[in-house]
This record gives sequence, structure tokens and C-alpha cells, in this order.
Amino acid sequence: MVSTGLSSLDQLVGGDGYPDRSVVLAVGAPGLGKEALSYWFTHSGLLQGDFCLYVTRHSVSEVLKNAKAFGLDFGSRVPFWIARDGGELKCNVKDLTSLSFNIKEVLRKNSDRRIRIVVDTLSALLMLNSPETIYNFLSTLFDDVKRYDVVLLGTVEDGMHQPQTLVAMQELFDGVVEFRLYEEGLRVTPLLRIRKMLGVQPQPGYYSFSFTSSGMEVSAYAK
Amino acid sequence: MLSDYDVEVLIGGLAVLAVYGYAAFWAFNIRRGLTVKLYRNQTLGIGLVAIGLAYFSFVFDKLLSFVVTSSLGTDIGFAILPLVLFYFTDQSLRAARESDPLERDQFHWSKLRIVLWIAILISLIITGNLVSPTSGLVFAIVDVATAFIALGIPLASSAILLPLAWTRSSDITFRRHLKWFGLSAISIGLCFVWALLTPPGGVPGVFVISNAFVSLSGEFVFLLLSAYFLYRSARAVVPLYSFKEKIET
Repeated sequence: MVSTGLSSLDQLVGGDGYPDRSVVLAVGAPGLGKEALSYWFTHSGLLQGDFCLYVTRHSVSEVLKNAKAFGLDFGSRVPFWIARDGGELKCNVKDLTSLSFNIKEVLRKNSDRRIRIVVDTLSALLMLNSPETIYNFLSTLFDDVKRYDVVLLGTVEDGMHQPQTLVAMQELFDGVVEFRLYEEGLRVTPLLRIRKMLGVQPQPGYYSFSFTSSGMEVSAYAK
Repeated sequence: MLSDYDVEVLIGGLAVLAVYGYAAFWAFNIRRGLTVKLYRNQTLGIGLVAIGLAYFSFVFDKLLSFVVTSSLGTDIGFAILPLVLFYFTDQSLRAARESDPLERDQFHWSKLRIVLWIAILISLIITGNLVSPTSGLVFAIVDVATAFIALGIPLASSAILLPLAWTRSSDITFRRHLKWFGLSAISIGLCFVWALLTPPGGVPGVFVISNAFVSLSGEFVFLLLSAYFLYRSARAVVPLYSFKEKIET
């Protein structure tokens, strides 16, 4: 198992974190804080000495700034970046072939270590390419994840794409963590749900969550 | 004793206030559920626009005359609306950039916004006579020019840039949010047109509705439509789910 970096979330996804050699998707509307999962996952990996690859359409400085807003300072330990600006490799979301090749090469060169990958470009890729192209890209990437000792965490925006695209996307992943705003009468509550997780019984429950400087607090939500 | 006209002003005005207030309530309600500053600011913007329009309608539909008789209330209304409208436009364009896969800085907005904010604030300070400019003709020219800037920049930027952001975005939630906002703005525009064409006594040769009751009813219809569309816009900032798993469209 690979720690999510958040003890509260580790409990929810099976006790000790994401399953080995798995691909997990965090789905949520913009602004709910699903990116924080990526930051904590990377941070935890860096502390444990894993090789961390962060694929982002943003610049490195933007990601670090956003992570700081969640109370996370990467300090001197930083991941390997494939980013729009400031990274070791350039992330061009219009060039899917080179993105795929770059990720493959980085994985191959670090195949002797445990690897964590964060991909926050899925929504951008879906906007620029047909869903079928992205499904093919992900299938190829997931083959490598299964071959090496890799856990991949992807994030995708809810509400940005057609619902059927998102459903098909979720099918490709071993685990899905869902962030949504629920409406009950006049009250709006942000809730989290583990929609599925490889090797773990489906959990029907909803959890309310909030981010603190030390991580995420989660508690079972009673309707 | 209140006349029939006064009763209509009270009932219609309070109804408009209530719907705008409800729109603001939902915007702030959704804002509480969000974590990221950019989107919290965007929902704050729509909530403030709802409050600004509520206040503006308070002035516009004469309800204010029951409370305040000086022009101060009107002046405040005209100062608040451009500010909140520009704040909303600014935050929406920043959110639009975030939802653009290529993160294009349309119209160099990240830099342009600073210049426009400064221009609007300075104009409002001068227009509001918070500083004493020179008197006479120069004062009159400066006053008109700054009022034009203070109102013109927010109106022009929202009328030009938001529709452009709508056409360029492929984020279906963002597009839905802006679509409702656009309908709200159009309703306000129609309300103005109606009010101009139907003053008490009518406009000879243009459009004559001399009945003040009918004229006011038309204004309330457009204001209510605007408030309702703004409420839909506030609810469309992010997808809202119910426990029946039915996504709101």
C-alpha cells in the first residue's frame, strides 16, 4: 500500500493508502480542493524517498504556491516536474505524443524505485482531444504503471465535461475518490466519497471533509 | 395613506429584493463549500452583484423614497454597482483562464485588470467628490469624464469580455453560469429600455403608455426576471448534487 499522505484518507481507502500498482482518480468540481490530494500524495512520497513525478499544465511556481495555500511547503524536496514552465521537462498539452513519450522515459529511467505519479492535465487533455484519444493515452500509461512499481493519482474536473465522458473515464481507473457539493434543503455541504478502490469493499458512505494546515479532517456524514 | 401606486411599489420592490437576496444567499452558501480562493472569489463576486442589483433596484423602483429622501442613497447605488460588477467580471475572467486548457491570458487580463481597477477607483473617488477638484468648467468636465470611466469600464468590460469568455470556454459549467448571468444582464437592459420608453405621460411619437401603474409593472417584471436569472447563475457556479444523484442542469 502507498500512503495518501493523509492519515484520515488512508483509513478510507483501505487502511494504509492506495493499493500498489494502482491508478486512482480524484474527481471534483473546481474549487473543492481535490488538488490537495495530489500535494499530500507527492509530499508523502518525497518524505519516504519515492521517486515522484508531477505532470501539470501549470507552472512549477503556481503548483508550489497552490500547495502552500493548503499548508504544504515542499522545501528542498521537490518532485520531478513535467510542467508548463520551470520543470525538468516541458508539458505541452497539445502534444500528446511527446507527453506520453516523456512520461514513459522518466518511468523507464527510474524503474528500480517505487514511483508516484500525479497527473493534473486530464481535463485539459479532454478539452483538446477526443475522449477516445485520451482513453488510449491512459491505457498505454496504465500498462506502464502495472509493469513498474507505480501508483498514479490523476485529477479531473467535474462539470467541465460531458457526464458520459467522465463515467467512461472512471471505468479506466482502479480507484475513484469523488468530491462533490451536495444540496440538502437550503444547506450546501462538500462531501467526499470513495466510489471504488481496488481490493476494497465498495464504501457507500459519504464523508464531510475540511482542510487544515496539517492535512485533511474527515468524518462520516449522517444525512 | 398609501396610494395604489405606492402599494405596487412596495409589493413589487420587496419581491425583487427577496429574489435578489435569495440569489446572494445561494452564492454565499456555495462559497462556504469551496476551498480554493479563486472560486471562492468568483462566488463572492456573483453574491456581491446580487446585493448590488438589489440595492440598485431599491433605488430604481422608487422603494428607496420610502426610506431616504436625499440623493445619497442613489449615489451609493451608482458607486456600488460598477465596483461589484467589475469585481465579478475580473474574477470570472481569471476563472475562465483556469478552465482554459492552454491557460491563455486573454487580452493580457492579468496586467490590464490592475490598470482598470486603478482607473475605476480614482474615478469613483473624484466622482464622489471625496477629493475637491478645481471648480468651474474644468470641474464639470472632470466630473463627467470620471463618471463615464467609473461606469463605462465595468459595463464595457462585462458586456464585451464575458460573452467572449463564454464563446471561448469549453467548460460546460462555466458556460452555463455565464449564460444565466447574461440573461440577467439582458433583463436589466430591457428594464432600462422599458423605463425610458414608458415615462409617466409617455414619449410623444415613440411609445406611449401613460398609465404609471402599467409602466411600473413592466419594470418589476424585468427586474424579477433579472433576479431569477441571477439566482440560476449563482447556483450554476459549480455542479450541485442532491442525494438522489440527480445533477442540476
